[in-house]
Amino acid sequence: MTCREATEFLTDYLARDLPAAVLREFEAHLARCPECRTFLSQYDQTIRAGRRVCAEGHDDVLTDFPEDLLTAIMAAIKASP
Amino acid sequence: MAERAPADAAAADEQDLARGLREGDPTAFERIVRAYGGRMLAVTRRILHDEEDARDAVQDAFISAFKARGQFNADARVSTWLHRIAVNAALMKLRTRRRRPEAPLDEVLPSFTEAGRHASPFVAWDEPADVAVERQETAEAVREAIAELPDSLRTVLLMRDIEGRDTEATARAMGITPNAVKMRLHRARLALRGLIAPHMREAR
Repeated sequence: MTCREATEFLTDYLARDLPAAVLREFEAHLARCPECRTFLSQYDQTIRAGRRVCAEGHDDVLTDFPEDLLTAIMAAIKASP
Repeated sequence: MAERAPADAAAADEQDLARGLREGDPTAFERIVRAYGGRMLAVTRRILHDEEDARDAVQDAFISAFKARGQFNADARVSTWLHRIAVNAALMKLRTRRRRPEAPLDEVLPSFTEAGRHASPFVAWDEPADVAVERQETAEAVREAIAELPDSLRTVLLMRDIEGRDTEATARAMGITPNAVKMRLHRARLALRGLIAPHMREAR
C-alpha cells in the first residue's frame, strides 16, 4: 500500500469501516511509515478541533439577535395564514 | 420556598415556551425567537457563509416552525426541534442559490510523488489541535478555515462531523449519493487539515 492509497482509507479507518484484509494492509503501512502516522493523527485532530469550535458555548451563538430580523419574522408570521 | 436552581428555571422556561408554541401564542413565539434566534443564526451562518442568506434562512426556519407548531412533540426540546428546522432551511437555501465559484484547494491538499509517497515531510503540530482550540484566537482560525471551504465540502463536513448526521441522512438532505457524501467528507477533512496546519505550528 502506498501513502496515497493509505490517505484514501483514512475516513473508513476512523469509522472502523475497512474490510479486514484492507485494514491489515493499512496498519502494516502505518507501522512502517512515520509520515502517514503523523498525517493520520493530524487528520483525526482536525475532526475533533472542528467539533469543538462549533460546539454550543464555544461559538458565536451568544451574539444578540438582530432586532430588525425579529421584527421581520414576527410580521411574516402575523401575515401567514 | 427554596429558589429553583438556574438549570431547573431554564427547563421550566422552555416548557412554558413549548406550551405557548403549541397554542400558537404570538407573545410566546416572540420570546422563542429572542431566546433561540441567535443560536439559529450561528447555525445558518456556518452553513451558508453569507450574512443575508443566513438571515433569510433563519426567517424561513421560524416561519416553517410556526406553521408546523402542531407537530411539535410535547416531550421534545424546543431548542433541538428549532435547530433541526434551521439546518434544513439553510440546506434548502444552499440548494436554491446560485453556485459560487470555488477557490482551488490543491495547495492545502496533501501531494504525493509518482511512486505514491508523501511528497514532503509533515511538521508535527506543537500540541493537539483539539487542545490548541481552547485558545480563542486558534478557535477563531479554525472557524474561519471551515468557512473558507467551498460550499459543497463545508456542508458535508458540518452535517457529518458537527451535526452528527449519518451518511445516508446527509445524502438525503443534500440530494446527493451516499458515496458522494463520503468522498466530499474526506476531501473536506483533508482541506481543513491543510488550512489549519499553519496555525497549529504557531500555537506556542
